[in-house]
Amino acid sequence: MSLQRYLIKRLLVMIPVLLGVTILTFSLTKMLPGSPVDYILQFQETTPGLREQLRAQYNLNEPIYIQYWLWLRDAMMLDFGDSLISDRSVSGAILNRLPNTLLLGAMGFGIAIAIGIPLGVVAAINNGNTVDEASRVAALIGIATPNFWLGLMLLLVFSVQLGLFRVIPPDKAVLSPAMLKFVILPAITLGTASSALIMRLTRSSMVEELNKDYVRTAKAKGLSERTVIVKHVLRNSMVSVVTVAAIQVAFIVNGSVVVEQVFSWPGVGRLLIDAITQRDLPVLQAIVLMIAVTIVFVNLVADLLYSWLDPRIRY
Amino acid sequence: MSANDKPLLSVDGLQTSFYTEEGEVKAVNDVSYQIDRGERFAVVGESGAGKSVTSLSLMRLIDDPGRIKGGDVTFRSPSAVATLARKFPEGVATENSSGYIHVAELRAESGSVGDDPGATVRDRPKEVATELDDGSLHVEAGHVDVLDAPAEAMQELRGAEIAMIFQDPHTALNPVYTVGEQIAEAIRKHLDMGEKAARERAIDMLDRVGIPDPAERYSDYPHEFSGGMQQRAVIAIALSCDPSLIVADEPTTALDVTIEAQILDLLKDLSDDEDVAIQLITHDLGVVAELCDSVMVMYAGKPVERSSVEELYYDPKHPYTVGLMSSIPRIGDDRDRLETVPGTMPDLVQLPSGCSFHPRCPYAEDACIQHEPPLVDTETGEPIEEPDSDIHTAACLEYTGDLQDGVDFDVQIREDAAADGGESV
Repeated sequence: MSLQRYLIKRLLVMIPVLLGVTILTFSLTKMLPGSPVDYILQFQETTPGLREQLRAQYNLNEPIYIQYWLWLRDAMMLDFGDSLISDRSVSGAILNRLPNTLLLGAMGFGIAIAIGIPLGVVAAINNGNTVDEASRVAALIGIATPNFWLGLMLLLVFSVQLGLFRVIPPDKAVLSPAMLKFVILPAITLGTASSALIMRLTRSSMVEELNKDYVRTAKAKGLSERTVIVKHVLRNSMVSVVTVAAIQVAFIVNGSVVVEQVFSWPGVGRLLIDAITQRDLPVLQAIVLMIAVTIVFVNLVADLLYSWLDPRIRY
Repeated sequence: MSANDKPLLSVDGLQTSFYTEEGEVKAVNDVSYQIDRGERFAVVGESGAGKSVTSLSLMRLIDDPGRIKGGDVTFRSPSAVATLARKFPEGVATENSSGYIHVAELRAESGSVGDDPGATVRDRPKEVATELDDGSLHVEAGHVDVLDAPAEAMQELRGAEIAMIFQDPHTALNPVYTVGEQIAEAIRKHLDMGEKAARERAIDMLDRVGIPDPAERYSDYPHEFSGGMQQRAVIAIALSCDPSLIVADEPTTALDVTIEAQILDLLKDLSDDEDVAIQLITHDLGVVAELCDSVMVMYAGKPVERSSVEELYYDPKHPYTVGLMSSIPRIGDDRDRLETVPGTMPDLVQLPSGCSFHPRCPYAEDACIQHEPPLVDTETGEPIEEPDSDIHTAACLEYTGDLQDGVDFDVQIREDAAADGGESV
């Protein structure tokens, strides 16, 4: 099957998955205690007349599948209505924050990859000796350190004591130098655990590949050690690393919620926390849906990467 | 005697051990042999005899915890000497400094060197090698000390001068690169060719080893090839840079019998046409008879018998060789059961005293437990100077005259041998 046909097939398969995701997100409002009207009114006492008026306004008297359809139709147009708190449009609020979160997430993921894969390769080449053992310990520490604690420690040391970074992010455009400098600490906080996981996985998968016969064939061709490792072994090892890296994207999205809080980072994660504490249902729904859709797409990218990395995977 | 009459490869006293928790595993323990240009040389023995380790040692592909402990591997290929002298002039051995590239006769292709017309330059090869950076270096004779060569120099030898074919073609090719790319990358590395030229040469190689539609199959991945075709592709890689020696490590063990015959024919044709020497590692004496000129039988890391193939089949001298021969099934054989060599290969950490084969040898005497038999000329009983396969040698006390029942033993072996050898040819 050609890559294009595979891509089309994968995209078609995504439709039911995305539908499922929207159904779950939509049901959020129905699963919460109280009626949506209570949330709209922020649980303030009011007259039955006003309640009935709101029910009519938000189509809450329609059958549930009609409600879902109306919501889905708007959601596909990225119209999630207005925030219950600020009266701004939900999409506007999210789009306003999204660049910050994308920057943080991309940097965090970049750090995870840029540290995890090279260190994993070094550990694999040094399999069994002190370098490998040291990397094992470092990885365990990296995985075991909670991100909120790591973030606080980094803030304490580098911002408060050494004064190298600001404690609160500057109110600048996302790609301005000041923001790019500030994002370093939160990105490290976000990427550490993932980089440790990716490193361990790169290592174990490289160690396995290094024992395969094709490595000997490559060496017997007279290729340099470097070419053998980078061209032959690493590419074979990457198949399993891609799987875990895709899962790490989900972890990083989760982590960003906490890390944004620690670093007062004006991103979607903080918007989500605010939406939860303020019971701002439309914002909550939109963010949850956005995260779910992101992860579905990341998995698609991972699957496409597989078949590029390993031509035997062509479904 | 001109330099080219010397063997292409001389292995002398090779020792390779693996250092494990149980102790030192002497996988290759004092092995010597020679391979002439274009000769097909077989290394035969059971699993664990040290055949593969011998080959990997001469390729310097022994990984931890293994180490080549001693011995010399001398490789006398003028093209290898020329390439290495050009790329690593500091490695050229001169009278007053040590080096691993020994240049006996070195001159420019035009016959002159720099402003020193007509001079052979064995006295100042280092300078000459640097001067002739344009590649016009011509080496008449010389050799490379393989075990002394640094890693970078070994990379120039591997694939270009000494190539290898592996046992299992299913796993020997990298699954994520096209077959063509895996051939072309060796060509680009060793023959200084660009993408396009290397691709064309790789397609020629696929054609040469009998792959139909080579231009189209170039872009196939290994999993799109059958087992026999994969092995042909591995052979194409080995052949791609015109090596003078191909080491084939059980190249047909993983293949069907019909494919096996095709691959053996291919190897035979290639070695005839390209004048490439083959060191074939196998446990299959039938394959040896099919393909090879001379043979070395190994047991527990040592050669126990070495001779031409014909001599070995008509007149095997070592009890172990006889045991191997009588374990081959033959058409017209009316025995109910095949003979086997009783017992198993000894523990290489703690070898038996004396002759390592004595616990399994039907003719063993007290002397065999006490004395380790040297490899001697079976005619004279004396050790020979050069490990030349033209002289029939065996490591058995029978031929040094140390066996009490020597005559008995001799007769029994010859009876066995005549019967087995006669039928097998």
